[in-house]
Amino acid sequence: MLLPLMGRQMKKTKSNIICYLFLLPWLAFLVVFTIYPFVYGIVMSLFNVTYKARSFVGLTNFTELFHDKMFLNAIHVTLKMCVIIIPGTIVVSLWIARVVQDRCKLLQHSAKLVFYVTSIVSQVALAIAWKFMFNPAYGLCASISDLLGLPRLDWFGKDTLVIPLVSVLVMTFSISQPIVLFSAAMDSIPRDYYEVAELEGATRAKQFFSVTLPLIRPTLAFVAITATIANLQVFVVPYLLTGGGPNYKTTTILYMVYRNAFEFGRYGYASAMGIVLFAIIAVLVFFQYQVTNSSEQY
Amino acid sequence: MKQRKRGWTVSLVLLMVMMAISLLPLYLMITGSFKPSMAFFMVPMDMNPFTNLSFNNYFTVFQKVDMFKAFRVSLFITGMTVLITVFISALGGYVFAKKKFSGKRFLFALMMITMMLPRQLLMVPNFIIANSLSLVNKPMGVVLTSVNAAYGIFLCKQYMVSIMDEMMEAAVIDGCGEICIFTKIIVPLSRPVFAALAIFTFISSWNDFIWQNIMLTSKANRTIPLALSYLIGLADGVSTVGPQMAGATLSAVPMILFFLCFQRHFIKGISIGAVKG
Repeated sequence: MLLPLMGRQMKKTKSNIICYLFLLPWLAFLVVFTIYPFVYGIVMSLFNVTYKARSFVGLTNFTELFHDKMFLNAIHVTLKMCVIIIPGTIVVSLWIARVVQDRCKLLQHSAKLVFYVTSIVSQVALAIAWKFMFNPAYGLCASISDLLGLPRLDWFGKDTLVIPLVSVLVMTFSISQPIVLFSAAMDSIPRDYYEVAELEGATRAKQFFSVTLPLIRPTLAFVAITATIANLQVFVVPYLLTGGGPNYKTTTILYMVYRNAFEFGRYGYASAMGIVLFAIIAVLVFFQYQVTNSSEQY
Repeated sequence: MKQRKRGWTVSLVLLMVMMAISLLPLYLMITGSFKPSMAFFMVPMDMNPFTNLSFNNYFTVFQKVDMFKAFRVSLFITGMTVLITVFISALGGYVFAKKKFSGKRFLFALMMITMMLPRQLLMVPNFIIANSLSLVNKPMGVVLTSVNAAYGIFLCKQYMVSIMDEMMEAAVIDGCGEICIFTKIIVPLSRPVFAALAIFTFISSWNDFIWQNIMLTSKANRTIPLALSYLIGLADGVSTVGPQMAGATLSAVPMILFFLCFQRHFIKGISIGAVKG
């Protein structure tokens, strides 16, 4: 009576061990390079860590953060960019996916290819081209301005122009993945739904808002959440194009983290910034998750 | 009906304009790389790819930075990252898709959370840890610190769930052990998802700039993105625009060709990960 029971128990343990052996490589990386750094970052934010010294300072880093005009400015700048980039990405990629929906295969395919190809090219390479395009003295925009008889603009040097411009440049590669996702989601909607809508006399616009949009809601939520996570961390484009200027107008939060850690050597302070950024991302994602989930109930 | 047709034409034109704008930087980069410095001064600018041809920019690039070396370092980092990521993800994806074990729900939740956790937020502590493990300034150090298998495991799991259990049971009857099932059944059937994952990892690793910039400080370990940013930093004068474009073209063209060859896998791969999210 006892023996088979023990045998089953043994078999279960053995199967558990095998599963964990398969997972071991992942778990090793997870512990060393994700969980440990995460905890270490939290601990570090409570210390004054520089190249030489290390002393416990409690929450001083955080209180300093919220009086640091540069950091408050960085939050402001990051949110401003996100307000343009996130809705912009969703609207533009939705629009493109809808325009090519049910059109000839060639158009569908080439649209996906063209918008995707930008996102596989290194942002450093793109930055080189953009720098040239928007140069005040020569390049594409100067030529267009001359052609139209307008004054040449210093695109990256003007306070009012630089945030919208950087945001639009980020959008040129952030729309690539959503276009593919939205297209796939739209293709999976049965054709009869549209036929019924057509019989009821719904215009193409009406069909989009009352048939397409509700049915692709899960994809919409996925895109919104991933876009939020990615774009709150804008860094490379301003770093290469503007160096954070003019007047720190493009110094984003992650840019501040980078400068404080790797230029000023203030690792503890930079970690505290990282945690604030994490908190902002977590709150926004949680909020989006709640909104998309609750409206799916009915 | 007529009005609808006109709306469609307007949309189509707008789409074409957007496509052109989106390709414009690549066009200017590639054609510009073959133009002498004086061509960049011209206003209106010289956009004709067949005038003012010159290969000088490419000679300058190879004089200023060791592009061959940069290619080798980038290839090493990218290749190793892809291999390790696919290996770990295949093992993990299989277990999450096909096995029952204690702690599965907890580990799966942990994986989903780390998938959402932005990697760049960990850059400061990760750098200090890498430093204490003396991984800084070593290409292998970049590999070890940038492997992020959570997304890969998720992708593999999504795909492997659809492999039929009957095949695995039949293999067990034929006397197949755990490792045999994995290598003889799961791996051959999961090739498409491995291809997609390898492509994604390849691209993000090849184009990774921030982390390589932090981790690799010596000239000898310069990767392609670092070599490019070095070219940008050299000077801001017009004479360096041409070589910069040439460097950018050298980095971009292999990726574009790679993408055109494997585009089907890309498009498929994106949908595996997201549709059932």
